[in-house]
Amino acid sequence: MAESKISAIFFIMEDNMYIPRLRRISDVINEMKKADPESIITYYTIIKLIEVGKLTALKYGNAWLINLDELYCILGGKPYEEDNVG
Amino acid sequence: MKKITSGKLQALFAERDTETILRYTNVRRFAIENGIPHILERNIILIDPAEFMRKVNPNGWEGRYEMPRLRTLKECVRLWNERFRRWQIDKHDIERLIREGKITSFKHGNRWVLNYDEVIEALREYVKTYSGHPIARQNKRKKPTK
Repeated sequence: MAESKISAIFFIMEDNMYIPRLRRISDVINEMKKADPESIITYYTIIKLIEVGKLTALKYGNAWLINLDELYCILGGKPYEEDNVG
Repeated sequence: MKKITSGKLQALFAERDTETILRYTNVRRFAIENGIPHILERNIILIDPAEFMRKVNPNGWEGRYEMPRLRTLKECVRLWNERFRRWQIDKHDIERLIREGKITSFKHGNRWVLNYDEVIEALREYVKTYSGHPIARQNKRKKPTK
C-alpha cells in the first residue's frame, strides 16, 4: 500500500503532463451550444468526423468519448494561452 | 511501471479537468476491458497509469485548444456584410478562400462548416485587393508610370 502511495506521488509530480479532456458527444454539443448558441455544430457533424477518421473516438463503458482538444484543433481552434499571473 | 489505485487515477483527471466524466468505477471497467495491466488485491485494483494514459490518448495528443466559432458559408457572408458595409462580399469570395486553403472548413452534407474567426482574418486581407481599398490605392500609386 505504501508503494502505491509513493508511486502515486511520483506519477502526479509531472506538472506538464497533458490530461485529455474526454467528453461524451452529447456533452460536447451541450457545451459548445452553451458557449456559442449560434454554433452550427450537431451530433451528426461529429459522427461524420469520426467516420472519415479525422477524429478519434474511444469506447468507454457504454459511451463513445472524444477528446475535446482534438476536436477544437480539427475545427481550427486557437491554442489555449494561460495568463501568467504575478 | 508502478501501479496506482483507480481512485488516484480518477483524482488526477479531476484535478486538471473539473468536468471529467471519469469515475473510479468506470476507470476500473475501462482498465479491465482494454487489457491494461492491473492487479486485483483485496477489492483494490492497481492500474498501470502510463498504459492507461496511452489508451485514453492513443494518438499522443497534447495541448489545449479554445473553442472555435462555427458558421455556415451563407451566415459568414451575412455577418461580414452587416459588419463591414463598405467592403461587401459574396459567397464566391469565401469559396475562393476555401479553395486556397486559407480557412479551416469541411463539408457536411451540402453545406460548408467554416471557422468564423478564420473567415474574418482571411477576408480582412482579401478586401485589401479591392480597387476602392486605401491599401490598393496606395499600391496603384507606387507603380512607375511609363
